[in-house]
Formats: sequence, C-alpha cells, structure tokens
Amino acid sequence: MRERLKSFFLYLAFWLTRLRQSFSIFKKNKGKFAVSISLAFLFMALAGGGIFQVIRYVKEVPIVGNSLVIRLTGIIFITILLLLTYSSVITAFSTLFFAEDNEFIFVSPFHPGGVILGKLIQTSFYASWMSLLVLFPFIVAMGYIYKFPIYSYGVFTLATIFFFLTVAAASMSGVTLLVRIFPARKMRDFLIVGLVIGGTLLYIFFRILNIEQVLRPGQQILAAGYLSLFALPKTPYLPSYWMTKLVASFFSPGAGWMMSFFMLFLFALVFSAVYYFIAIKYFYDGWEKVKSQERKRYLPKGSFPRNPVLAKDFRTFVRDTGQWTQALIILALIVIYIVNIYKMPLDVPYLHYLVAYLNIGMIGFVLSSVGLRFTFSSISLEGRCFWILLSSPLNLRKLFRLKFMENFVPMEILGLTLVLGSNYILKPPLALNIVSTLVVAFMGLTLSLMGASMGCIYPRFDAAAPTEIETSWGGVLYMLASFFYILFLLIAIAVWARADFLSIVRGYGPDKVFVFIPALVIIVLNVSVALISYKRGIRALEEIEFQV
Amino acid sequence: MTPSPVKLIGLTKKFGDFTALSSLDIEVEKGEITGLLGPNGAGKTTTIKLMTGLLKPTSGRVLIAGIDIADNPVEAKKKFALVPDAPFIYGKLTAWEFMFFIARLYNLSKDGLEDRVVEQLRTFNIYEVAHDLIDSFSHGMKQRLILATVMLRDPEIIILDEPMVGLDPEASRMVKNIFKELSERGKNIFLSTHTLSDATELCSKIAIISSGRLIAHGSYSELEKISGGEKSLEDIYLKITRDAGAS
Ligand SMILES: Nc1ncnc2c1ncn2[C@@H]1O[C@H](COP(=O)(O)OP(=O)(O)OP(=O)(O)O)[C@@H](O)[C@H]1O
Ligand SMILES: [Mg+2]
Repeated sequence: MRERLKSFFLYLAFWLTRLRQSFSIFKKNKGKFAVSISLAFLFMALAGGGIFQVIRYVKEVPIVGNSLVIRLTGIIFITILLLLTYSSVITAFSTLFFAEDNEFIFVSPFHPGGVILGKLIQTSFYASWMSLLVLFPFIVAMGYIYKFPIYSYGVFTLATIFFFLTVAAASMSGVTLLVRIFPARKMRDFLIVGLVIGGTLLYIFFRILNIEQVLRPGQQILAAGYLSLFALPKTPYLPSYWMTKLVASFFSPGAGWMMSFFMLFLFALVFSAVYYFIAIKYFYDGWEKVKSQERKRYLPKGSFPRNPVLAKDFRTFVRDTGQWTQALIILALIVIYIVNIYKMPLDVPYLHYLVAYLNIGMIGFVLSSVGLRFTFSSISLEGRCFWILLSSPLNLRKLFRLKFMENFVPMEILGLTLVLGSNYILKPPLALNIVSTLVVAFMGLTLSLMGASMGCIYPRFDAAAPTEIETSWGGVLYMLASFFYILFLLIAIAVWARADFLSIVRGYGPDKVFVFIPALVIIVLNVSVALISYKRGIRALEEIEFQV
Repeated sequence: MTPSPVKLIGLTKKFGDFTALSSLDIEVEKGEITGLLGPNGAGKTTTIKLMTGLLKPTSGRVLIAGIDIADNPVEAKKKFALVPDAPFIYGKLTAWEFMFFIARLYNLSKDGLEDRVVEQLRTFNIYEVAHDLIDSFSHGMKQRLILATVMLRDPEIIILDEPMVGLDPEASRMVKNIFKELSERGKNIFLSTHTLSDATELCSKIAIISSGRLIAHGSYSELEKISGGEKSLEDIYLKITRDAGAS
C-alpha cells in the first residue's frame, strides 16, 4: 500500500513537472501572464453572463419555471457527460498507451498500481479542463440567481471532481479492455469512426423527432414545451443525473444534497476501483501490444514531389490514421450542422435573417476549433524531428508560409462550404448572403494566420501526444483570442444587420453610416490581426529554439 | 586564405538564470577532426545546437565557413550536416523517401541521384529495408540512415553529437573509417564524444569543456603538456577536468 502511494505521488510529481514546463513562459513574462488570465476571466464572465440571461428567462415561466431550470441543468450535465466521455476516451489512449514516458516508468521502480492511479488523474485533467470553462460560470450564475449558500461551492467542487473521475475511470476501463481484444492503434480509429457515425445518426434522429416543436420567438410557453420534449435519460445509473439532483437540491424542495453527493462519491470510488483492477491486470499487456508495430512497406510511386516539406506532411497525414480520423470528426460536424439548419422551423422571415446571422458565429467557432487541431499544432507536430528542418537551409519565412497555406486552403474550403451550404438552405436576402460569405472567407484567412502564428510563438516540441499541444497554454490562448475576434466581428456585423433588416421592413435603404462603419471595422480588424499574426509568426519562427 | 570552418566567438548560452555555456572561444582548423570532450552536462550538446542554429546564443557569435549563422542562416546551414545525439526522423516516411526528402531539401543535383541513394543505402546496410516505414527502425538503423543522408550530401563540414552511441561494433568501425577517409579528402569533422578511445583514435584536435567553460584546446601533444606530462588521453582528460573542478 505504501509503495503504491509513493509511486502514485512520484508519478504525479513527475507529470506536474512536465506540466509546469508549459507554463514556464510566465516566469519570464509577467505581462503575458496577466493578459492570459484576464482573457480567461473575460471569457468565463461572458459565458456566465449568457447563461445567467437564459436561466433568468426560463425561471420566469409561470408555474413550471423551477422545474424547467432543473431540466436545463439536466441538459447541460448530460451534454457535458457526453463530451467528457468522448474526450476521455481519446485522452485515455494517449495517457495509457501512447505516452512517451511509459518506457521510462516501466524500467524505474514504480509500483504499477501507483502509475495506474496517476494516469487516472492525468486523464481526468486533460479530458475535463475545457468543460470547466463552461461548468464554472454555470454554477456561479445559478448560485447568484438562487443565492446558494457559501458551503455549497465546496460541495460542488468536490462533486465535480468525483464526476470527472468517474467518467475518466469508466472510459479508461473500457479502453483497457478494448485494447486487450484489439490492437490499440486500429481500435482507436475504429472507435472514433464508430463514435462519429453513431453520434451523427443519433443526432439526426433526435433532430428529426423533435425539432418541429422548437420554440417560436417570444413565446415562453413554447420554450417550455421544447424543454419538456427533451426526453432526458432520467436514469440514476448516470453520474450526470446525480450532478443535476445535487444542483437542484439547493433551490427546489426535495431530498437534501447529501444523498446526491454521496452517490457521486460512490460512483467515483466504484469506477476507480474497477478501473484499478482492470488496469492492474491488462495494462502492461496492452501497452506491449501497442508497441509492437506491424511492418508496413510503401513502394515509391513516381518521382518525389517538388516541395519536400509539403510531400512529407501529406504522407504523414495520410499514413497516420489518427490524423485523418480527426478530419472525419470534422466531416460529421458538417453533416450535423447542415441537418441542424435544414430542420429548423423557420416560418418567420425574421428568423431566417437571425439564423443566417448567428450562422456566421457558429462557422467561426467550427473554424477556430479546426484551427486549434491543425493549424495551431502544425509546427509543434514536427516534434522531436524539427531539428531536420531547423538545421537545414530552408528559409523559415517560406516554412511559415507553407505551414499556413497547408492549413488555410482546407480551412477556407470548409468555411465556404458551410456558409454557402447553409445560405442555400436559409435563403437570406442578397446583401446578408454576400456579407456572410465575405466575412467567412476573411475568417478562414485570419484564423489560420493566427493559428500558424501562435503555434510558432508557443511551440511544444516535447508533447507526448497532440492533446498536450492543444491543452498547452498557447492553445488556450489561441481559443480565447479567436473567441474575441469572432465576437468583435459579430458585433460589427450586428450593427449593419440591424439597420439592414429594418430597411427591408421599411422598404428604403439603410443609413450609409451603418454600412460604412461596420465595413471599415471588419476590414481594419481582419487586416490588422492578419498582418500582426503574419509578422509575429515569422519573427517567432526565426527566433525559435529547439529545446527538448 | 579560406576562413576557418567553424569559429565560435565568446559563445554564451543561458537557460533562465543557469549559464550552460560561458564565453566559449573555439577556432577549428581546416581538414581536422575535432573532438569535443567533457563530463555529462558540460555543455557539449548545447554547443552543437548553438553551432547549428537549433538554439540562439545569449551572446557571442557562430561563424560557419566565415558566415555568421545569425546574420545569414540559409547560407551557413548549407555548409554543414548535423547528426544529433538522438536520431529522431519522420516515422511515417520510408528510408527511401527520406533520402529523397533530404535531396530535395538541400537541392542536390538530380543527375544519377537514384544511383547515389542506392549506393549510400547499401553502404549503411539499410537497402533491404529501404521501403519500410522508419517507425519500424531500431535506434542504430535510424542513425545509419541519417549518416547515409550526410554522405549523400557530402558537405564540407560535418557536425556530430555522440555519433558512436547506439551503433553496433561493426557499424561503429565502419563509421570511424569513413570519418578518417573524409578527413583525408579535406572534409572538416566536429564531433562530441564520451569515448576517449574513439577520441584518441580519430581526433587530431581536442577541446575539453567542463561546466560550460573551455578548459583545454589543442592537439594531443599540446594537451599532454598542459596536463603536466600525462601519457594516455584518459589520464590527461581526468587530470585536466579535475584541475578545472578544483580551481
Ligand atoms: N533547455 C534547457 N533548459 C535548461 N537547461 C538546459 C537545457 N538544455 C540543457 N540544459 C542544461 O545545460 C547543461 C549542458 O547540457 P548539455 O546537454 O549541453 O550537456 P552535454 O555536455 O551534452 O551532456 P551529455 O554528456 O550528458 O550529453 C546541463 O546542465 C543541462 O541541464
Ligand atoms: Mg549531450
């Protein structure tokens, strides 16, 4: 037992040192730290504000207000549960089987039990910190509206940890068992493909079932109908059920919080124990299995392409199934997206207009998450092989442009497909159609420049897995920066769109001021962000150091 | 007068508060095999990374064949080949593809390129697995592949960080013979090593660093004098590094 605990803490300490490295830039630069922290807080404040508005609105629905809030809470927790499971499964593969430090761990006198538990903590952390960015403002908004007692925040904190641990432990048990049956690399790909296709189908199914009853504008009672239509799996076998109950216990009569809290604790305990025994038994075998690579041969086809780096990146992408399964996820995203818009009951012209407008923001978020996965990561993904390019006479300015172009072209195609596709379905007025297409084209350019640039400013050549690049501080910063960029764009467009819509209703053209000023803002914003990104990116790449 | 192949002037590197290398001055003479010796953590790898542009000096300059690598990295980097201490290369390419990748990257002449690739792959005993993914290669095989690309390029200056680590006795013998032959052809070789017997056998000039400082530099007989008449390189090395530690 003591050995296990010792190894557990040693492993955690070992991992924390690695984690600290990604934050070490702040030791050198306090200003950067301040900016990053304030950005993160601003993000949570805005998210919290949005959630606050929605909860207040729903709460005011006569008679059923509170029970609707509970339903809303349930929806949030089930969504978080699904997302968590998804990211835990992917993360579990990295932390368990593709971790670079495994080799070292197994030759050192670590007790396997300690390592296994350490990996559980690691997985929970990587898989869940993103959902914290939403969960935290949600709890605070709820707490503010319903005046939760102070101690409840302590209860929530612990409960959330139990919740995350449960999901991570369950996913890791599943992954370990699956690897025992299948070789891990193939398994992960099958699983991702399966999840994507299954998820897409399920989503379409739900959409088609429910969407006709979606809320009409301004009619709260219909919103109520919509919420109650969501047939939530109200099963006590899911931890999200108890999270919902826990939150609800602080503002609605019924069982106290202790029961839910205890259940969440029990969940964490049982699943961690199950995971522990499964992993103790099968983890090592699984890892051995993953390591033994099958031999693959690729005979040369024709001459080697003109641009060697492009050819190298292309081949690496195609041959690394882990990479293109990600592309598949994005494809599924597009399908979900288009179906979503197609099935919307847009019987009022105002709604067409509104959805076409919000659509720009949605596409922005899709593009920025693609940007994080591919563009931001592109330099870091060179990893320990980066010495080859850095010590070669390759012009780094050209390398920057190449990495940018490689990602910009697919990003632009994706963005334009989305905007043209949804505009085709939504049929907004011509002006909005043109504006949204132009803005999305701009976004593709600016977001990929931003990604390429920030990827050079915050490289992580030592990342053991791509998730480590995305969850690095630079990755978070990129997400926050693109969030604000999109927000500013949306505000600028809103100023124009409001005037434009009113002019359609009135029948005469909008005031010129509402056309020129937003247009100017959009152009200045894009050009300046793009130029600054380009310049800073090249400078960062020219000053880059290969420290691994 | 042709410039020295490698000249380090007041080269200093700090990692945060820690000084890994302080004011290193080394001028390599033409046609020599220079060995960089020093205990673990002395700063050998740091020196080599600074020389090849993988790290940027805190102060000081690196001249490769007279070209300042900070001012004109592209021209300077054309002159040398690097063999790093850990052979990380693109696992999703085959050895064959990697050879052509390097050929394109360095703009090698296309005349008879394929024959030269085959020749080098054969020399380094990886022709049989040329179409396998590099992911399936062992440490030593990857190292041999890197050496094959170096020979394919045939640059004037070759910089190697502990090149013998990971090679089997046969390969290591072969590599040493190649170094000697290259040196006879007037190429410049700069290598770091821990193996004193390799240094004795190969190097015509030796630089010893300890805790980031150059403590001795010269030919074998010059070092003998500095150390006060120690005979074997091992004794010389131990004496000099101990003296440096004591002072
Ligand atoms: N990126 C880095 N950050 C901080 N310190 C570093 C970094 N790289 C190297 N160092 C430190 O600089 C010193 C010199 O390291 P270097 O790798 O150059 O030694 P070396 O002579 O190559 O050793 P070895 O014989 O073990 O290969 C060491 O103390 C090392 O800890
Ligand atoms: Mg070294």
